[in-house]
Amino acid sequence: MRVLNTVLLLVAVPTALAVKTQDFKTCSQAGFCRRGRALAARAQENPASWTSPYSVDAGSLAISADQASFTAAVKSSLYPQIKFGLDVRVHDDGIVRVRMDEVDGLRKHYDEAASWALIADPTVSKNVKWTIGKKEVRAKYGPKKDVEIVVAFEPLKVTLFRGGKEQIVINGRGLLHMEHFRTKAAEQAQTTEEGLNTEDAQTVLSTNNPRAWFEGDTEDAYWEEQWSSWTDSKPKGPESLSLDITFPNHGHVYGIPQHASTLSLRTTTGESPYYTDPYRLYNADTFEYLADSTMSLYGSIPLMHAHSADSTVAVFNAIGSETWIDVSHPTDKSTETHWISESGILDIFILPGPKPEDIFEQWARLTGASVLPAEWSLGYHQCRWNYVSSDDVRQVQKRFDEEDIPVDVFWLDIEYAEEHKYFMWDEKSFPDPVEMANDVSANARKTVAIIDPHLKRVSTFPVYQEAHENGYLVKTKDSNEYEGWCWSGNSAWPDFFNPASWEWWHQLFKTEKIEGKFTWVDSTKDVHIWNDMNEPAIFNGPEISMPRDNIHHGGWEHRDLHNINGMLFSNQTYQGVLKRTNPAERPFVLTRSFYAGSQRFGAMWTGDNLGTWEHMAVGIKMVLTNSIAGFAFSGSDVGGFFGNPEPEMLTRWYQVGIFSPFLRAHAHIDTKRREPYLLDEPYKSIIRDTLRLRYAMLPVWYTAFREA
Amino acid sequence: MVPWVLLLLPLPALSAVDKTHGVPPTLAASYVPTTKSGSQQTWTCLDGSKVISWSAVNDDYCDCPDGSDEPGTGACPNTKFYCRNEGHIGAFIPSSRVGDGLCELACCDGSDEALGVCENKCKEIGEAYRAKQAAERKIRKTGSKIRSTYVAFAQKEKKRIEGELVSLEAEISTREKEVERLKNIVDHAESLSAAALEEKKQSPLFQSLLTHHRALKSLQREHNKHLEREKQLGDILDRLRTGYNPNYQDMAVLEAVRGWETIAHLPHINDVKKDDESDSDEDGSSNEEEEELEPGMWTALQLEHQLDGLLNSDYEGLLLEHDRHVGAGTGSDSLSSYIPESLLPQYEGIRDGLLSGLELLGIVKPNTKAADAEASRAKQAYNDAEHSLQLTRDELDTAQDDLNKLFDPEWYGKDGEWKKLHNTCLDKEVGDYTYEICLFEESKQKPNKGGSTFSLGRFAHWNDASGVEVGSPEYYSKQYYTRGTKCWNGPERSVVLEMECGTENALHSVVELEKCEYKITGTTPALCLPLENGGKSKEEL
Repeated sequence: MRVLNTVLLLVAVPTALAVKTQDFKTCSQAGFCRRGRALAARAQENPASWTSPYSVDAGSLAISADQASFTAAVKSSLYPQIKFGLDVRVHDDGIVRVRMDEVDGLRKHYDEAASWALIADPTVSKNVKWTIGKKEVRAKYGPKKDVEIVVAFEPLKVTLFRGGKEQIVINGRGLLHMEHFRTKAAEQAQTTEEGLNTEDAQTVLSTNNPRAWFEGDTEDAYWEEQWSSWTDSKPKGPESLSLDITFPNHGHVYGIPQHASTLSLRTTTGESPYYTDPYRLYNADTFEYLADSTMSLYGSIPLMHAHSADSTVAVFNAIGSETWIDVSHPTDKSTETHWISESGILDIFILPGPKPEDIFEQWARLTGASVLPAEWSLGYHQCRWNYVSSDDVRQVQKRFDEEDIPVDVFWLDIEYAEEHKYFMWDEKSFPDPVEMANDVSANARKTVAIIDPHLKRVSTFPVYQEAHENGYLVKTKDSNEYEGWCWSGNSAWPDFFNPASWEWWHQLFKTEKIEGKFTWVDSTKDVHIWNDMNEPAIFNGPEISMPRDNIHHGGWEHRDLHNINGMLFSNQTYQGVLKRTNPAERPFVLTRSFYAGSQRFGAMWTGDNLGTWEHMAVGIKMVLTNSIAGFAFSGSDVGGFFGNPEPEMLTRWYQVGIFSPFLRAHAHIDTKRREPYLLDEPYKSIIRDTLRLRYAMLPVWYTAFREA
Repeated sequence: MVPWVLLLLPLPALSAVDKTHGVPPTLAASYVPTTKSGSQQTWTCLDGSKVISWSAVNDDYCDCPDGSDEPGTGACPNTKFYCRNEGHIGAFIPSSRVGDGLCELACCDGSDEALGVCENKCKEIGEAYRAKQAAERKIRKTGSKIRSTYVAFAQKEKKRIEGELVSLEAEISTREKEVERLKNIVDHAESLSAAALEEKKQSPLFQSLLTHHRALKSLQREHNKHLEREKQLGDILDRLRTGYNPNYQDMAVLEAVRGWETIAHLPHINDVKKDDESDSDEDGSSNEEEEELEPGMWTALQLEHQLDGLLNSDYEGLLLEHDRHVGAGTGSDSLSSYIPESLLPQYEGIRDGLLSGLELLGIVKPNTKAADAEASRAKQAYNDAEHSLQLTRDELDTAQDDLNKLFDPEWYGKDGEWKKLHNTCLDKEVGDYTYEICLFEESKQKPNKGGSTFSLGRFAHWNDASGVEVGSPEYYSKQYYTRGTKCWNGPERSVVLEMECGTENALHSVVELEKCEYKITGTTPALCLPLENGGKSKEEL
């Protein structure tokens, strides 16, 4: 009977369909976020006496020869011996770039985020003249000379004015803090190790700590940090960046995708905030995500718009590490934000607006415009995990034609690949992949097949083997090839931060044979690509992703560039698909993970949504937020990925879906088939008419993309 | 034609789409203009709802609500375009395919596209079609011969079962008489002993025995419920253990699997290194389970196999037996204790004969014990006879049922052609599994590399989709097998078997289109209907 009791207990656990919140960190479970919020709390408690310890050394200020930018030394009163450097410049379209980094530090802060996001090196304006005053340096610019950027010396504060009115203030609340690199003291190390059994490993400092008013009295999770069953070795120690950005005259802020939340961002701090945790940017495979939450999802674009009746401005915080953003409204007409990042330099782009369309233009000049899609990719995409065989694909196509329902693309999820070795067809079910693709092409349609970044670690898989032999794979902190678990079992991940890997990846997509190399001869130029799991998603990793102390090309830690990782994957896939045709045909690449700049390489979708009305609704908001952040070629899975929608819900979802830039129906492997031809009347005809409306509007979509 | 007239014509008209382009021969007569004197030519939409200018027919603009003015363009949605396909067979395609730049196979003359876009392939397509038709007819012909042997088999079956029915009915009537006779004897014997028995039953010991019996039976019922539940839970956990996705590092699932492995003494799954230890583990487990029992206590094995026997004891028989035991030493039977065992049977025979003789003469009062025994024996004979009768009746019902199903369109077809295939087992190896269907019985999935076999369901019905007529060829083209083993976190497994005419009974493909729902295709001669004269088959009519 004891057996039976145990068994009963095990079975009695409820199995609700919901995100496993324990798989993902809250702010209080991340050391640097805890420190950042504690800093803000201390400032809140002492509003009168609080002053930022950072100041510009006026004597060091040097204006460049062309007058467009200046550099200056910055000091922190907390650590007078640590040097920081400031660089401020105005681009020819009025964008102000503010950079600050530690100078001559023990190590280097990650400073390459902007280089991945930006489409090109921006040109610096020739019409800016800096005026150095006693307390600040300022420059007026713009066609009406009504925009002014002012950098105050003590404390350091950057303010953008238009018409004399404050638009954006950086470090106005004195929350700027760039943790400098330091040496781990031996005795401290011991204390920390002893205290490791709790995740709040803290070291109490001596009582007369002159920095306690700012940094707090403890060294909270400076070094090795534990969460759940994982240990983050953090060999570089504390290096986080805290930054306050205030919009004194803007009552609404938007952007910073990706979250399942409202278009206008809600409060996370201040008086009775709507959410308790800050908006989080840390690309993650958030399984069965909540429809209303600040939890991070698959992609990150750290761009925030601030909007009021007469002005729209924006800031882009070019950072690749995990970032938490607190939002509050001290009044109805103003917004305070606080950005807390794990690592990286301060690299802020201030987009002056003043109208929303100006912001879009400035953003497009900075990080690139949306890719102009092939017209077919604006049609209807039919996906399912999985169409199980080449005959299944043919049969689905036949049924669509019999019912005269328009469709342009048939998709293949992971099961086409033998043992999830992407590129390798499962010959039992897909014995004739080229013929299958040609049968689809014969009707002027396309096929999309999935290629994920986890490469099965077997020598019989040429893609892995080539990457392994060339050393293109991500390494562990001990410089060994990193192994993780994903669909393909024991796998490795290519490191696209290594430029040497690019050519190799592009070559894989060639459809003709190349001696001695793997190329995708079992494919055609009408097979386009879906990149999934590129956060990267790793089933046995912390937060279903990669250990932060893994090492990428150039010796950077994964934590430094985590949010950029997904974009590099879809970027290189796009380049590979582009290169396989001559003259080049426009590639279509769908990505789940993204960063600022991903819009240049294809489309995105909102990931694994649930078949509920709430998810249908939040999908609209997510697509809108994404579009505001410049990544407009986006959509949500019609019907919801999980669950079996009622015919009415499915029909409504199509009616919503045809108005998103990217239109795809998709379903989980456990769901019933739900292709539109399977529905009873009147639903089938309603969906047919709905899809025909989408097709009737294709010129509108295509033109909109051209104009974008 | 003067130039200004040309200018008035709508542009598509210049591309010279014939007014009857895309019109099937049956409607050709409707596509003629009406000319009233002094006015321009007009045309009435086929549904009569609108009169339009004749020039608006096939002008690539949809005028009629029913779309009938654009038979030859793609302008009106949801209409059909007719391709003549000379050299082949005329066909309709949806209007959405007209002028889309693609050459439809169904429209082999290429008339759906502008001139020069598509080649006319009707000659070769027509030839290939006719060759295929001929090949199919050949298969049909061979297949239908085999099918006729199935029909003949059904006729033989009919005769055999009818013969069986006659003999079974005769047997039943004999057995009924026998039962009647034995019942009379029992009634007589029981009337003698019933009263005495009733009195004995009042004994506290017997009453207590009955209470024990009921308690034990209740306990057994509860025990079985628990066993059943434990088995179900075990099954769930077994499926979890073999089926869970180790990729998702779900600690709760992992804990459940590890916990179950420990309790059930199973080796750790997905744990190659521990394979060797698992054997010794299992040895250890069997020892562990042998608990020390008090002497006389039942083991689990005994409980499982012997408890039912105990509960089915003939308590009345035992009561009488008991009485005999307790009563030993008194009455005439006391003699038996002095007689050597080897002689006992003879003695008892003589004694019983003697006693009954004496009873008849009224010398010895009828001994209740003897009457009881008599009644008990008679009862046994009666029960046996009745049981045999029931068995024969069941046989009759089965035979009757077989006969009914034989020509029932919902079972073996109105010609009985499917009877021959009852319990014919077909299989097909796909990937790591062999799929088996025993027609009209059960479908199974057997792993090729060891592991448990799953039922994919038992025969439930033919194609009962709405609009499918019972007994039609379409009706027999699908068999449904349902209520197979339940999938972990999914539905009960099921199969749709789709068949067509072929010379062999065979399975051709197996696909799992949705989780645990299998589509299996195959062929069978049972679907090869005989060709009618002139090659036209019944199903095409």
